[in-house]
Amino acid sequence: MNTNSNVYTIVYTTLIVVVAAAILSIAAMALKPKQQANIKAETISQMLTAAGFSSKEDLAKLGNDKVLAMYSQNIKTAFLIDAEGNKTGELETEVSGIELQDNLKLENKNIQNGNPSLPVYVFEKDGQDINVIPCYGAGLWGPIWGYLAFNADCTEILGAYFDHDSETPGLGAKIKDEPSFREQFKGKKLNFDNPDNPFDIVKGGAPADNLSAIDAITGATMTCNGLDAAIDTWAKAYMPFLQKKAAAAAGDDCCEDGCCEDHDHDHDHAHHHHDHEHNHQEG
Amino acid sequence: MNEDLKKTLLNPIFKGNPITVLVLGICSSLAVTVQLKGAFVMALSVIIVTGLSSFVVSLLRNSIPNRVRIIVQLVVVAMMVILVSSKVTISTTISFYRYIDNILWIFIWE
Repeated sequence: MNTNSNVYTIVYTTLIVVVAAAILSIAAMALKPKQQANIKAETISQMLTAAGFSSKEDLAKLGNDKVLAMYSQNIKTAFLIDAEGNKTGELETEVSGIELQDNLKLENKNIQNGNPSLPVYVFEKDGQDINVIPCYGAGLWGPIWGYLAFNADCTEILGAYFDHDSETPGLGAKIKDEPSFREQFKGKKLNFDNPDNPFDIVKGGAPADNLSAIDAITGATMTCNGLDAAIDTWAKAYMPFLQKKAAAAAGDDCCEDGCCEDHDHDHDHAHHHHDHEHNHQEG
Repeated sequence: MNEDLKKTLLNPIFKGNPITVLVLGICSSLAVTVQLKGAFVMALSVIIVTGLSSFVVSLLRNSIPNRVRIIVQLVVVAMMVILVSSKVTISTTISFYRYIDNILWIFIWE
């Protein structure tokens, strides 16, 4: 066969390309379930790190099963809320109920449209509730997202974790790789008085007494601006819910940990009077 | 034979070092200088990809038409790179391959 004839050349290149594509597709399909499991475990580790149960590095060493087990152990409840902060539906506390990054992207669009259906994950640590909410936005080169963990009455941020798709390593990627950036979130709070800008990431350093601002990363201004915008958008969407929680805690003198619907006693029959009292706040 | 062997082994390190002499792949190389772990993973991946793709191309070499040699080699190398990288990940443990994932996608994107 003449390997330099036109027909042979065309047939050969077509064949090579088709074979290469087939190999890649088969490999992708065969490994998809494992990849999904990895992604799920990754999302869980991010949430657990934000909530302060462990650090990402330690979780990475544990392996998928242990991470899933840790989630099931510590998750208390998970639900969806709407634009007014009312509970619209329960999410499964099974691992299948976790919203992955694609869902976050969808929710981001829903927030822009004005009809969001946002997830809230409630963990329990040492008897206290930890509320974890996600956020999603555009970084410099690609999407960035993360989780913010609030205390039981949603007035203080306990921790945070952020991830990115393709930010610059060493600069924008520091939102993920640099623990000291995340540490700044501890003890901060959202500024409910300023609904369009409840949180600031300040280039050049935030004033020390500003509880709603942190320092940006040097050389990663665009990424930090993107993160700031993401947090602002999602915090604004969650604000009715967070404010309801805070109000429930402030006006509540019968529950010690602040929010009755998350009281760790069995509230089915023992504390039905609590549910009755606070019905109006759940909408 | 000894001379040839010495040349093959030592050239890529000293006289014909792709990074320092040919100034190729600077961005990827600099990116892995942060941690030894990263450099190790990168080195391992490069060895696997170049070795496997050279092997495949050498099997095909008599059948490739002259005009499309470079194209076919490109296709083979690209396929190997994608297989070794994270999007079609081979292992199932978070630890090892998420790490490779994070490292490799820096370079592929680059």
